[in-house]
Amino acid sequence: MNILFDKSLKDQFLSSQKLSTDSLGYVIDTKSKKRVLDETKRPIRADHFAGIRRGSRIFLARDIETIIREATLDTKQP
Amino acid sequence: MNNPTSLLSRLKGVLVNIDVKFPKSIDNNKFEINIGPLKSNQTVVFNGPVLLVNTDTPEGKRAAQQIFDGQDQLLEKGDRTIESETAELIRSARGSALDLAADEGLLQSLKEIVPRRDIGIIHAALFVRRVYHAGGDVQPYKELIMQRYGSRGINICNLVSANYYEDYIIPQYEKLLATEGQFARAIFEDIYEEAVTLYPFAVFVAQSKEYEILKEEIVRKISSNRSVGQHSLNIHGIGYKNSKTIKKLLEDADIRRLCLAKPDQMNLGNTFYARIYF
Repeated sequence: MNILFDKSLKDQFLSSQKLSTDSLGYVIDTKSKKRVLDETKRPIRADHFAGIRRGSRIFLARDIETIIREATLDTKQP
Repeated sequence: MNNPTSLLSRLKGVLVNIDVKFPKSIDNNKFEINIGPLKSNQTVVFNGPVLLVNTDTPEGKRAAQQIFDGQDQLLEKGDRTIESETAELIRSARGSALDLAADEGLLQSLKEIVPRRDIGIIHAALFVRRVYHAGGDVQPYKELIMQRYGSRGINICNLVSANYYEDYIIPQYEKLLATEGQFARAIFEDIYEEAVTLYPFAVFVAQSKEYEILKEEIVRKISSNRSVGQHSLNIHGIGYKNSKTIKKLLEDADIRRLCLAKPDQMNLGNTFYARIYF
């Protein structure tokens, strides 16, 4: 089961997850002020932020590597 | 591990004081929540396996906030809360486009000869080529390659889509290996870099390139290829408009006067390919 949201709601979603943006436009944890990282340990710019995968709270970026990886995960699932 | 409480119960727990008619049951595997502005007067409604939340209504806005706040209660391991357009790109990428098996041999060969930094790009470009062969729309994926890898990414994507790694780059390396032995690798590095940054043996027609720019590129490449004893140039394009541009270029007097023979022309599905000789 997935929750899909329109891109106009991205800020609202970020805020609900206690995430915000630093002065350079990267997504940060509002409390620790640390940049959140995607699965390849890269920081995520807010305009490329795509969502969160549940589990160990995996942050997803809208980029080609993430799309291939997530689609591969979906294909492997029964 | 699945959450022991049913999804329906969890949804009822998350959506508090929202006017919504819950169904008797929900198929966990097919179910999805779709949140965003809808051009209708629906607020929060179940529509088959989808819960639609219209954020153009006050009720929908409240429901959206409750779902975002309660996403950890709703989702199970591996589930996502994700922006819709990205979700669609993931959905469209499933299936044959992910079947790397057909390209595994090529990727392994390339790992031995191209710079390591290009392997990720080639992996993504092979994926785009499989999307194309499966009849999918490659443009959004090419834009993401551009976003991640810049113009080098798009150049490699073009080379992969026109089979240049199999037809030109690997054969070039093998030829060099046979003639230059231990020096082959160093010579190849220069040739490869030129192929990726300038692709001297090909012109890729795209709607973003103006006609005069394309013409200039062809004339320049004819001249530079001639100077190194190369007497043909390939021109590629995808789609009707680009095919039409290539045909116009082939008829252009400034290009025709440089050519010695009639060009080869071929349609491969949606792709148009021409080779000029000079």
